[in-house]
Formats: sequence, structure tokens, C-alpha cells
Amino acid sequence: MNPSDWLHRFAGSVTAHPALAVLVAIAAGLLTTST
Amino acid sequence: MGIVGYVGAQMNLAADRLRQGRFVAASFFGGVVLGLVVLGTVAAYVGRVLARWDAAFALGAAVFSVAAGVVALLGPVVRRHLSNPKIPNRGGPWGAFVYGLLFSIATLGSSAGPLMLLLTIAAAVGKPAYGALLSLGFGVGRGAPFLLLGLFAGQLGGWISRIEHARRFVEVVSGVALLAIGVYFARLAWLVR
Repeated sequence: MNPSDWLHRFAGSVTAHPALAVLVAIAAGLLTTST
Repeated sequence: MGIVGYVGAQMNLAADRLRQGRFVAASFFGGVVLGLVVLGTVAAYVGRVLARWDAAFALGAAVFSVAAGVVALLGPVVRRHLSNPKIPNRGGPWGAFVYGLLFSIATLGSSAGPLMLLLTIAAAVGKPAYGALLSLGFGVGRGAPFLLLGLFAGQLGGWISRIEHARRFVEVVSGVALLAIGVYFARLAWLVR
């Protein structure tokens, strides 16, 4: 597979599931909590 | 002073004015979220602009990703030698908002891995609205413990400390992902040179 195709597929898979991506982002933010 | 200490101090100062104390916590939360949304949006814009220079963008992204990955994996060592810059903090809702705004940027060192991974993804996707959405989610997660701390008058300090134990795991996962992205971009730079 051409690398640029890989990038487009990656970008496409992230943007295709915005709710899942946002949930993962929330979890990452929560687990990054530092005091 | 740790952030729990800051929010807690604000709560104590406003003990007789609980509503204002909650407002202070909400302002801090708003500052954290806004600061991160700005970072995510800027990363997406930068990614969109740099993507026009194929090889240079890929090489820059490779160097950035590998550096961020190494920093994330060496997190404890980096934190031992490089503390977060001091942020002047003032009382009141406006002071808390500004503190939250600067907190999200000044603590890049302590949240390097996950945030850098998010910014790299935002830049790779290159859609500012999507970068803003992802960083909004990250900001909500990052600021939520402090908002809850304020809303529940500092009763959640122990809970936040327990969450902190997961930080290293998330950091390592992010670091490995960043290294993988770095290798990918290096290969891309080689192929499109």
C-alpha cells in the first residue's frame, strides 16, 4: 500500500468515527490528570 | 503548589461563598478546555499548511513524533529534570480562567505523550474543526476532575490521586504510538523525497 494511502485511510478512519475518537480523547485527558 | 492545592485554596477562601467557589472551578475548567481547543485547532491548521510540502512535512512530522515519543517514554526522567514553568495565579473566577488557560500549555511536559499524540493526529487529519473537536474532548477529560473537585468542595482529592496512577500507562502507550507514527512518516519522507 502506498504510504499516502495509509495516511488517508488513517485520517479517514479517525474522522469516520468522531464519537469514538472524542470518547478516547476524553479518557486520555482524564487519565492524564496531574496534580 | 499543586493544582489540587490551588483549587482547594480557592474553595477554602470562598467557603462562605460556595457559589463563587463553584464559579472559580468552572472558570478554571473553561480555561483548560479553551487552551487545549486552541492548541488542537492550531495543530490542524499547521498540518494542513505543511502537508503541501510533502517530503519536508513528512520529515518534520517524523522528527517531531519520535522526539515526542521519546519524551513520553522517558516521562519520569524528563519531569525530574524539567519542571513545569511557574504560572502566576490570582484568586477569583477571572484569575482561575487565566490560570486554567496557561495550565494547559505550561503542563505540556507532564502530559506530553497523550497530548502530543492528539496534536499529531489533528495535524495529520488537517481539519481544524476536527482538531478542535478532539482537543475539546481531551480538555473536558483533563479539566473534569478539577471541575468535580470544585463542585464537590474538595472531597475528590483521593479519587484524583488514584487516577494519577494510570497516567504512566497512558504515557507509555502514547509514546509507543508516537514512535510508530514517527517511523511511518520517516518512511513516507524517504518515498516522496
